[in-house]
Amino acid sequence: MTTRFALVRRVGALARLPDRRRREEVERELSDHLEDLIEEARRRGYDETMAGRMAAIRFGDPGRIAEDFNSVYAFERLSRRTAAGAVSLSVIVAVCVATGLFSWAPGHALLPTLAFASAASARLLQGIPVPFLWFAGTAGPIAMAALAFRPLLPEQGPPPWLLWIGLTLSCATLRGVVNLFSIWPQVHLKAYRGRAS
Amino acid sequence: MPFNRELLKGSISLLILKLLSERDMYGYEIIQEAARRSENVFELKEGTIYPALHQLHKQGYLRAEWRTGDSGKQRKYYGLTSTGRTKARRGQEDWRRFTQTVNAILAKDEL
Repeated sequence: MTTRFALVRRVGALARLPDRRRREEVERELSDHLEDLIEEARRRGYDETMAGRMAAIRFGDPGRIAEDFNSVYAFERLSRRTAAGAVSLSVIVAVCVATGLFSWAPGHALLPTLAFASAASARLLQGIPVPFLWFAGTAGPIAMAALAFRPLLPEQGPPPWLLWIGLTLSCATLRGVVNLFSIWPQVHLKAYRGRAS
Repeated sequence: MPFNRELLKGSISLLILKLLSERDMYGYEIIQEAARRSENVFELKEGTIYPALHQLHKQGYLRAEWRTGDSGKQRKYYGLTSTGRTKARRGQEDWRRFTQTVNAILAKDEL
């Protein structure tokens, strides 16, 4: 029993599957398979220990099995990692741009947060490939945010047109970063395939 | 006598698709069935079959579901999708054409 779990865990650990759910599923599938192999050996008259050993031999090298799984999920893993990297970087860039633009206004601690929240919403709207909506997407959230946060904002805040310019710049930067990260895995994969062939 | 590993690796998808075109099976069953039909010449290894099944599933040729089998145990059963059926049919045609061509060349060599 211990050998079975050790083998399966080893495959799961080395295969570098894209997520935990997938890893658990692969481990469960392989564990069931080993159970069938052990049962087959038992039917042939081997005792528990020998049956376990025979099953492990027939199962093969966990490193090799993991390597094959690894190549099946290589692209998915890379895409997820890139997407996570793009989101993190976008958040950092958005915060930096927004904070930089509005830091001149003393006591406006709420503004960078407000600008970032609006930029993030606008970034979602930019998923629609219509140029007009790119601007509407930045104007819409800022108008809504201004309405929602008006009571909290100081009297002498930056004018809305300046906020809009700031947000547009933030969004343009975000879009550039996201585009860069969506192209990169394809370039990387082509290079990887080239090396493999 | 065992076959060249590369030769077997190239045809593994076709073998899986063909076997699954007859009925849904889980990994262990596929290995058993391939061994039985080939009179134990094809001893598919786990390291080959499971990654291949996952690859075909990802490509949309297979569907997979956890189901209780005849033994009362839960197993992950694989079956063909409609795309998988077409792929299996085309794969067989291609394979026949390919082997006929290779055989024709080899036959000429023997003369």
